[in-house]
Amino acid sequence: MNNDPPSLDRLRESYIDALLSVAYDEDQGSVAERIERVMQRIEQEKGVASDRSSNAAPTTTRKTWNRWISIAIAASLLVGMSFVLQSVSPIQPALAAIEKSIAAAAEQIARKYLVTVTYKSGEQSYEIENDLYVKGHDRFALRHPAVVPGADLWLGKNGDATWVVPAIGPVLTGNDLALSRWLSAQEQLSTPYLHVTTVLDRMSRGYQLRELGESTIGTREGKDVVCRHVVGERKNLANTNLPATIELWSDKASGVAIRIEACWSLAASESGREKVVIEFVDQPELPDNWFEAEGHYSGSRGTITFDTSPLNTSPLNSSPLNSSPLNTDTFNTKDKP
Amino acid sequence: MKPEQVFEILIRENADMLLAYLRSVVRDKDAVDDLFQESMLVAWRKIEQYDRDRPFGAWLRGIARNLALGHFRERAGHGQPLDSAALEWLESRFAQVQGLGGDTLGEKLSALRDCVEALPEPYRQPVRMRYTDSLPLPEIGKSLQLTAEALKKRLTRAKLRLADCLERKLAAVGELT
Repeated sequence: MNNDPPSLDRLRESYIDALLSVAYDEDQGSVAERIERVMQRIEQEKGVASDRSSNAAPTTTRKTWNRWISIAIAASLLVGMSFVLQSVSPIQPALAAIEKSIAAAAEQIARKYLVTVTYKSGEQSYEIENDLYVKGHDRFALRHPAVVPGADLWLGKNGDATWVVPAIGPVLTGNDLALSRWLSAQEQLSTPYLHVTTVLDRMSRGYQLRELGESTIGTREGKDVVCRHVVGERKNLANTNLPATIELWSDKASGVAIRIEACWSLAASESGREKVVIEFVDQPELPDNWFEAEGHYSGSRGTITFDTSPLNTSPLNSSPLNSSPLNTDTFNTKDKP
Repeated sequence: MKPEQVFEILIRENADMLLAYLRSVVRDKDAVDDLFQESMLVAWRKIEQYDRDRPFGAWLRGIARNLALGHFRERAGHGQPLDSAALEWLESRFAQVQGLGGDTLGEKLSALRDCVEALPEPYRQPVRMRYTDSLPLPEIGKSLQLTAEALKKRLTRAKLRLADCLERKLAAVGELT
């Protein structure tokens, strides 16, 4: 056997081979699973009970911020549904319905959805309704209702940057990661999957899809739409933070997602969000700046960049970061040349 | 946010690059898996040693590099191990790629995809069949009416052309910055 070090050409070939495998997304599905295994090992080593499977009753703060989690998930579900389906489509029989839905979702047409999040608290359940507007893959605006009229909170993405417009105070802007960090700072839970891209990533890798044929769905406007029905079941049963099932009903004719349901399997003793339903409402005419932060406040407001502002400057923040060496405010998460 | 949460974000941002790096270092898929996991775990255990002013990805690959050298020592006599100089060469290339624009490695590698598109057809075709369509080599050979040996040579030449192309692009970016 030849044990000589490989030649430079061989080295260059290996280097390009590895990059090509990433550039064309070969076997990327396993990356999320690998990371999941690493995190499980770390949790085991730390000897801490994982919050991911905690059965503890939620505190008020936790319940409050569970809403944020659900909203982030809801927005992600819809905006990212194409990711979910695209990644598995080559090997799934649900391909035809899904590809059509992906194409429809990519159209630069504004669509409005009603997002209903159902929470379970003890033996009771209650619902919160949010309005979600999407346009293509990378524009969305989500209105989260407030108890006080006129104090709604908006968050969204304009194609490049994400933003949050709180009821009062400065507007926050940043990228996907920054938004997810901000969201995660709004609650005390240890939920890495708050990271929006992480949610998408895990969803895109971890669901077994199958098509259930055609069914007719009634829309919010009272129309009956013949839909193709696809259901995704979570492969990793242990990861209870992700929905156990995701179902998609897409218009058979246009491919537009008419209804998406994500359900979590909560134990009898568990509280938290148990269902998110996203229903197509209509295709509204919207102002040009609807997917910009500026479209959702009047008058003058300051702007803070997520990445550089201390998170506790947020008027909604309830949990300043701890003093860990892994404090995100100062951590260099991006490699630079 | 808990340290392990931040750590998970960091490794998610750098996992693709680490995996690509390990694939270029070790050919055995099982070994790549083992080294990937071990690199992450060692990084977590040594996180206090990490200099936060330095790029996390390069630090992670440094850990992987040391583990790979250990792997080669354990398997002395098997395969073609890379020496320190070869690993250093690879690291320099990955550091260059890391410096390209784009949030994800997939985005950074648009330059490589451009290189693929610029390949002459006889080279582009097998590369796309192999990496875009994920076809097995025998199927590609059959489709292109090439023997296994001829296909292997064709792919090797294509990859070396791609290496030249990517290096030119990386050099151009380096001159601009």
